[in-house]
Amino acid sequence: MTDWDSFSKRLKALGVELGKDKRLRKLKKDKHPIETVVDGGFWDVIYGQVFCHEEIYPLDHSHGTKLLWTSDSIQTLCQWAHAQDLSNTDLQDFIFLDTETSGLAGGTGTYAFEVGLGRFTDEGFHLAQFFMRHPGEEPALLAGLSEFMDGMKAVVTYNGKSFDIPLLNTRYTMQGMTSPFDDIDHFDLLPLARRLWKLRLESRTLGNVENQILGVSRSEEEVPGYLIPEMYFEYLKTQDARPLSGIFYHNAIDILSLAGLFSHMAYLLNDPSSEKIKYGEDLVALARFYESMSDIPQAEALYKEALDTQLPDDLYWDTVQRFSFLLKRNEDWSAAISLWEQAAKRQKLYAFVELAKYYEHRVRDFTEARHWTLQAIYSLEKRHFPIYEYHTWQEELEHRLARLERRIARAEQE
Amino acid sequence: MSNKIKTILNRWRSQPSIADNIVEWRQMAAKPADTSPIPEELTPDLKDWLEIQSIKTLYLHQVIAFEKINSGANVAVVSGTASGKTLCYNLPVINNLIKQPGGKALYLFPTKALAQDQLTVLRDMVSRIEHPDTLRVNIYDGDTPQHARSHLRHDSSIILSNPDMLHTGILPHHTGWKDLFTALRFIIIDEMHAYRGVFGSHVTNVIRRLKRISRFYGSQPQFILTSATIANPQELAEKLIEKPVTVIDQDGSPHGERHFLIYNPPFLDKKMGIRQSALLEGSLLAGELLDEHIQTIVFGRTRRSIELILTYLRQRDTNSNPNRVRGYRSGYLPKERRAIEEGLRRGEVQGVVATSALELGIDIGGMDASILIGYPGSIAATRQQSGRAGRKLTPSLSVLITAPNALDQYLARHPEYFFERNPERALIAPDNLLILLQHIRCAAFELPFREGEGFGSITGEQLKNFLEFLTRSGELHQQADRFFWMANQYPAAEISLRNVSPDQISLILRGSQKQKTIGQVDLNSAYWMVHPDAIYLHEGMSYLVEELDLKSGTAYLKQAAVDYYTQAKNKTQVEEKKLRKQEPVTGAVKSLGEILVTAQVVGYQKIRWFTHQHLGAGEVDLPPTLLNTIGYWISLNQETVEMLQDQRLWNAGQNDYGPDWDSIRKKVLLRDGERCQVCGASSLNQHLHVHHIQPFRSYASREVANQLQNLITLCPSCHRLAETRVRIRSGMAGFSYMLHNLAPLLIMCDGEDIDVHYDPNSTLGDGQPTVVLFDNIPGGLGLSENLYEMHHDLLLQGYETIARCECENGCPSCVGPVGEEGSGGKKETLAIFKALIGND
Repeated sequence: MTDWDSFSKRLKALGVELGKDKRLRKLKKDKHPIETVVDGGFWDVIYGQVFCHEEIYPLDHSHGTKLLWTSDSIQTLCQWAHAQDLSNTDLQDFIFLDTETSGLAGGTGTYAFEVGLGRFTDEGFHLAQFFMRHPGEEPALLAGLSEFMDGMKAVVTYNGKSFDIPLLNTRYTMQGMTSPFDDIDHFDLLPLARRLWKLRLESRTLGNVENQILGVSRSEEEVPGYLIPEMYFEYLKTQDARPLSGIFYHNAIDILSLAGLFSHMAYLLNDPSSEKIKYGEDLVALARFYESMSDIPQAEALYKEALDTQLPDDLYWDTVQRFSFLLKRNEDWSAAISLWEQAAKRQKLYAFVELAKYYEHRVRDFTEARHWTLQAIYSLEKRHFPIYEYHTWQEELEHRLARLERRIARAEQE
Repeated sequence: MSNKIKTILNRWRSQPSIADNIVEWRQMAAKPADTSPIPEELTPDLKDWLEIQSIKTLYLHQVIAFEKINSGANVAVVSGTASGKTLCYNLPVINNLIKQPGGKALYLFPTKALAQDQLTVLRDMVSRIEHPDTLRVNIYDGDTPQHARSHLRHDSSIILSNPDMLHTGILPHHTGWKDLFTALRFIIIDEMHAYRGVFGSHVTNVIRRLKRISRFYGSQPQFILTSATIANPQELAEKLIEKPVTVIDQDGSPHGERHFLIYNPPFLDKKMGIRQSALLEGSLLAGELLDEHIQTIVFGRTRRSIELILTYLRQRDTNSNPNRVRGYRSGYLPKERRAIEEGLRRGEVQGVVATSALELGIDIGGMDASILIGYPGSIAATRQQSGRAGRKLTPSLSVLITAPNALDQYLARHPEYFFERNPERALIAPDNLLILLQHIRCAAFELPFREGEGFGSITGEQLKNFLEFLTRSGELHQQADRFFWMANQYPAAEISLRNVSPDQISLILRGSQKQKTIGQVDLNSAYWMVHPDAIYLHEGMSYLVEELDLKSGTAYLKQAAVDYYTQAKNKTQVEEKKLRKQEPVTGAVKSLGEILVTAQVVGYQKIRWFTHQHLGAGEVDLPPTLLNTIGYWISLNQETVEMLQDQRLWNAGQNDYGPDWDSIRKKVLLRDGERCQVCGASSLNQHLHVHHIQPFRSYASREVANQLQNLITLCPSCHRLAETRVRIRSGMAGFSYMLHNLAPLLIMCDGEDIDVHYDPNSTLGDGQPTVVLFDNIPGGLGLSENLYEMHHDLLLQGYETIARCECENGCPSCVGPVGEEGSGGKKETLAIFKALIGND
């Protein structure tokens, strides 16, 4: 196997094709190194040098229609993220991170060739984008990241929990270096975005969220994410960095949107009210959020407000149900009953049952309870239910009815 | 129990309906245990555990293994079924992990089921030690739930997995396994004989990658392998791990008296070579054993046969609980398997029916008898399956029921194969270019390659070629002296360890509701198995292929209740690319070399079940497949051909048909418009034959035989099929059929790994009639090389098989199936064999 030609012939004979159009390109006469295409310099780190583009966005910079910086408390956000005591933490202790990689498959063969980091400082929002001109510069890139991140208490990403951070940790291990992410908190905004806007936005990709919530639209400099790996491979062969400016733009907007989103979420969660929120769906989502965080007063207030807005029918009645259960747990009976009576008018079976339960156990008015049970049974027969559901309800209602009959009979005897 | 076996044997001996069919009756004396005291160095925890298991002494091989492993050697333990192989590795490994805490072990099993069984055993052992929390044993495979995975990676001391999971799930994500790799002390490879052929070649490369990763994290684990009896355990072990291995093959385990029978079902039609069904005969014998409450395991070749056997056995005795006979499928959950094993232990389950998947070491506790329906494909597998029968001291019985095919019938006459002869050699070819290339891609994904670095036993020089190739394809980027993976791909997902071509065709069943995937075939097989309009058989059901979408890699099938099956019509051409060896042999020339096999499915025939009637034909438009591989071919000398012609035993040539044959032939071609009358192929592309519809030799006079009505123009492919279908088979067809069937026996390979092609006018043999046997894998696997060396032996065995076959003119057991009338080519085939053997 010493002769290259015969080797490749043998492989070809076995059906192994060279990829289409992938011949070693001759290097062009004048290369276009990165520093001539993107504004930036080389950081000196222990493993050598790494290219970095830096920019500072002033304190009053607007990203989309919203201010980048927030003065709102981040306490609720920290609570949600189960962060260690960060309530005293400053916005300046957060690092915002997004990677550009050689692929989405993960594993040890995927590289982050560019990592963008951002942090709030007294001068403004400081963006630093580290870039490796080739994989040999990876240790320097990782060292640069660690340096920039020094002292930070938490990292903020979008879907970073399943992708960016595990990827970077892998890279640090491959290079035998300690990962700076080991001891700090991680705020992945994607799950929160899902919670807040699942009811209203079809897609919660960063691109869609930044557009719909922050009002950001990207310029023609933007390159779509799926093209990025190929562009980097092309650059490796040709050493022509000109197309890469699009990647830097893409990454920069990602980071700004991340920071803007963080600020906006802090703003929303700090003091949610209908003045800030235009959409009923968002109010419902927030109500559910506060309920899950056990902030009952806030949840109740939001549910109430939500029900006063225009909601799609399904969502309205689902919200009525949730709110009613919240009220029930709080033993706020009059409010709960009022909701159940509303729902009962709409033939919602659970409402009949809750009313029956209330009258049986709380008031001990068995006749009233029976009345509601019968209503439920009547409604069950009239409407169409899937077989399994039907049988479940039927069993439950018959059981309930039988018990009530017994109690009524016994009460009459006494 | 001993009386029961003896009783049955005596009964069978005295029953002619059974005794007459028993072609071999062997008895092997009982063997006592060869013991050795429990080693002193064993920690008290484990000594206690042995006591709880009522193990007072160990077998000799277990103690030798303990000592050798403690000395740091890589060890391979070779012994039969139920010989206590597990303790050979569990004792030294757990002992070491207890005495020197912090170490870890990786156990690899060929199946998930085996891992499940070992998990129970290991956890039990570990539960007795002083700090059981320090030695956590866990399985990590495709069934491990996602949420548990991250925890297992960091927390486990012993990980049980399989080569496939190692290949796609562990190695490409090795940074997540840092804790395992930095502390890895032992790698256990269980049932290494399973790693042969293509699978073994892949696994060797996975092990190369594993060693590379270990080295990256600074560990140098010791290897422990186990194997069933094969002819070359040392060779296989050292090829798999590429390090020196100490083989321990003393078997100190005891066994009772063993009886081994070979039962050949009687003829229903001797002339046609049709025998009674092996499945029915086997079920009958199994039934008799169960009647006597002899715990029996029955092995069938296919899942469907399991169902049939179960049905028969349950119907036979409707009084007892149907669950006294259980089917055992590889897809069962551990819970179900435990239930069957428990039932056996308690005696509630008397019979188990399984496919050969069971041969892989699942502990079903010694049964008293085993029945093998059909030869399982290798001597080693036969020994393992029959080895299921036999407890430590009581007599056991094993019966092999031979099926009506060439291989089984050959064995029915050569029982010494099981007893005297060595089992097969396990062959692997890890440096097959295609396989190697795929794994180098995976390795590069896992860790960049450095210039000069090798890969396993592949030197830096050799590896350079691969790295350069991959760089030119754009998947690797070279920076200074290192090669980095720079592609948006996950190479491990593109390989299946079980076959060579990464391309699979999924078989989708179009039903009334959802679509369901019923299986997969690799691309090359797909052309002839699931071409459009093909009938595909799966677990006893017939499916019609509606569409074959090559681009998406899918075949769409629908259920079809039809009374026919299809046979693909292949147009095959074999070209010599490079000759490696060539020698004259008796009557012929044998050659070994690189060949290009071009095969194309051009059409198909519809054949009715059982009657073999032709119901029609169809055309298919599929691309040809090209296979570059190694082949071994035999070309008959001109003298041999002439001699056969003189004896009127050669009917592939024109000379037989008389002096005016030439002009008659031209008339027929003209009449038929120079086109094959079956498929329409024209004479522009190939040489057309003129074929006698009613065989020439069945006529008294040549003139009558050569009437135009009895003649038809056919292309070579259709002509071949015509021969197959009804009439005279040329000796070449029978010759190649026999060789194709015997070859896998002489080398331990699957029937599909070797293919055959013959041609009366072959370019391979300068126009001489030639049969070529080739590895059905690009680049070859070393199989043809072996056959080339075994040439004489192969011919001798082939000759004998046909000579001793009791059929008249040919049958599936010797030269191949034959039509309703006409000569089967047996005489012609025999003559060829004789000519090539000479005067032995």
